[in-house]
Amino acid sequence: MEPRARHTNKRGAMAAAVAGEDRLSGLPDDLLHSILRGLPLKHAARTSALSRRWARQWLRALASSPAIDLTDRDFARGQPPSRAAATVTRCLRLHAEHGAPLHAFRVALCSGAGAGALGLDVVGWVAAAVARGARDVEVDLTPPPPQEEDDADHGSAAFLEIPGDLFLAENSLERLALGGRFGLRAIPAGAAGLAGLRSLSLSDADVTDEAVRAMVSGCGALELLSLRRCRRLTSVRVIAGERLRVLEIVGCLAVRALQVAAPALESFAFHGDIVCSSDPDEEEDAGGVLFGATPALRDAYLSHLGFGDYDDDRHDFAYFNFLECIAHANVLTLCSVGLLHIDVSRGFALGVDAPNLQELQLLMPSLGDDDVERVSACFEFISVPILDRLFIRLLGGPADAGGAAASSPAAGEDEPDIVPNVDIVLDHLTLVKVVNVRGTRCELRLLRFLMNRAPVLEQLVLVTAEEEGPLGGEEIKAIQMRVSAMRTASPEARVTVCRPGKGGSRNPAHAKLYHEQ
Amino acid sequence: MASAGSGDEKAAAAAMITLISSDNEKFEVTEATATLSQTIRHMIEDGCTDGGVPLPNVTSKILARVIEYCKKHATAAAGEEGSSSSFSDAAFLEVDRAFLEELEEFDDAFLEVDRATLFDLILAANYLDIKGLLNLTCQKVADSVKGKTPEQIREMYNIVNDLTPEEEAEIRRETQWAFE
Repeated sequence: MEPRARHTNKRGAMAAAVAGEDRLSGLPDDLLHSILRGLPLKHAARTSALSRRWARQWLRALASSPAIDLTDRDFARGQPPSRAAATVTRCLRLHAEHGAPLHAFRVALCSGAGAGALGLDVVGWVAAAVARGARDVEVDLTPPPPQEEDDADHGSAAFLEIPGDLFLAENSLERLALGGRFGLRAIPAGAAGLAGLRSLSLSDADVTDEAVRAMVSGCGALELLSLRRCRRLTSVRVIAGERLRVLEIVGCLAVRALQVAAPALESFAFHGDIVCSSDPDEEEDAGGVLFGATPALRDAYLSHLGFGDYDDDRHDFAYFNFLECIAHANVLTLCSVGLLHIDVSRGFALGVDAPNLQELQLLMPSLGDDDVERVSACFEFISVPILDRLFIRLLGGPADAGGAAASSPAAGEDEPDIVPNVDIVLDHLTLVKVVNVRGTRCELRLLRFLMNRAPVLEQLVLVTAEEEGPLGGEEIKAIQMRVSAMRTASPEARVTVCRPGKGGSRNPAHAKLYHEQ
Repeated sequence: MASAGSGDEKAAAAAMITLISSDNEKFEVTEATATLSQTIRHMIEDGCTDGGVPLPNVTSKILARVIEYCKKHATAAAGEEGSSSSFSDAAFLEVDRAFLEELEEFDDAFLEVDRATLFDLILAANYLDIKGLLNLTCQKVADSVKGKTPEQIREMYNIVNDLTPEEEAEIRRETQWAFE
């Protein structure tokens, strides 16, 4: 092999040595591109202003890579959509000229008011990426969240219709993620170009119940389906093959019926309104949740935070039915709205068995006396024979904290325990972790309840609240002392009070909280 | 058994390769170490390594460092192959993790070099086609640039700005999002 000679130009090298040699710019293009690809997009783009050698080199670096990823937040927000779009188009053109294989094309733009103007561009990108053999295509045109919830405004912004022929031909597509006001009405059922999909995510899309049904039945290899804020969906039917492992339905607020047949399902997440018929006079089976057997279900996330209280007429057993479908999971996240429903309906229902549940996370926006009692009611209602880890995430905003603090300085009288639930024993529970602790009376009450019923508890971790200035060392010490002094069922229990990000203890499997997105 | 052992020794001895630097220094390395370089691997496959492999644009100083890297990572690769069959075994995973950590520490220490050496290593890794070393050294340069303004980067690497003010203004406008 003939070695490649560099620095043969002696005069040039000497001149450079005098001024201090610029060896970085002297690197061949492919090495420069390797370096640029090692930078976050924003920092790579900045090098454009270094010199002529570097001008738009970052774009060429991207265009010679098998993965074009333009999902950088600043790229989307720091410039007008039309300029960002021009850059995306240029990058794809350079990529085609370069001729490298294209595996992934991911882009995020802030469409804002100019979404319509981007229509042709976007369709062109997806078409080009698919035609070039991309396996992973993601286009996120999600508009910035509106300041106020304004449905009229939502209605007026036009959907960007995906042309029906875009996915007609066979392709290599495995993952498709479309975020923003995409219309999917023109895509024919059973399109060959979607048949190989393993992952499909739609956010804010104009997609109908029928379209979801058709797509799921047309994609036999589908492993993941995510539907977010698809507001036209009212009756979601996911009759999937043996492959579907992950199903996520988030913020689809019009959903009144949910039918899932996915024998291989491992992970399920739902965040939104209580699923039930909107009309109390309707037939019973017109709404609600229907699950086929999901023996492999590992984790389920069921949260209604921000949606709905309890309505006698409508809700009846709606929550209970839903919970029963997923209670055999190993890991479960529930929220305070769910606890409210449990509390109201437990007089009428027998209770739910959660025989496999090892980890439970409770999302509690506030923690008053009612909430503490609902937590205890929850353990009365749901039988959790092998529960090992309990995570309680308090989410109280500053207002809530103020109220609690006023009514309950940590040094107050010890409240009597919650009496009606004396026979609850959590005899496999080894870890309790409570996040966003402020040391309020109700928190201590809740802790006392738990510690009294956990004979093999090994560790209690309290993570203090982040906002409004972290608690001082004195306050942390005071919480630690009060909790340590509690009568506990377990002689082994260790109490740790720490600040956010410290302590290094275990975290819940569900770290992503949908109501915060 | 004894004969098998000496056979292995012979095989090991036969698998030594001589690398010759630009300043004519000779380095004896095992084939496993040498073949981390795709360039050398191809030469071995083509049977043209008798009498040593001349590497006319790698100095002895840089070649010594490259070999140091390859030795360490060749044992790592061998270890990975050995343990992959028992991947599910927790004890092996533990060993693997400890080994990976050690390797990471080695890489960090390895990169503690002056800038001229770093560029020499990049060029050598590129020429010898050693992917791991190339990624490692390129990332080191990338990390040094991260978060810096163009002015700071120019000063750091003696880059002369040959853009006209108009051109620079145009580029900054195009990539305005990256400067906020």
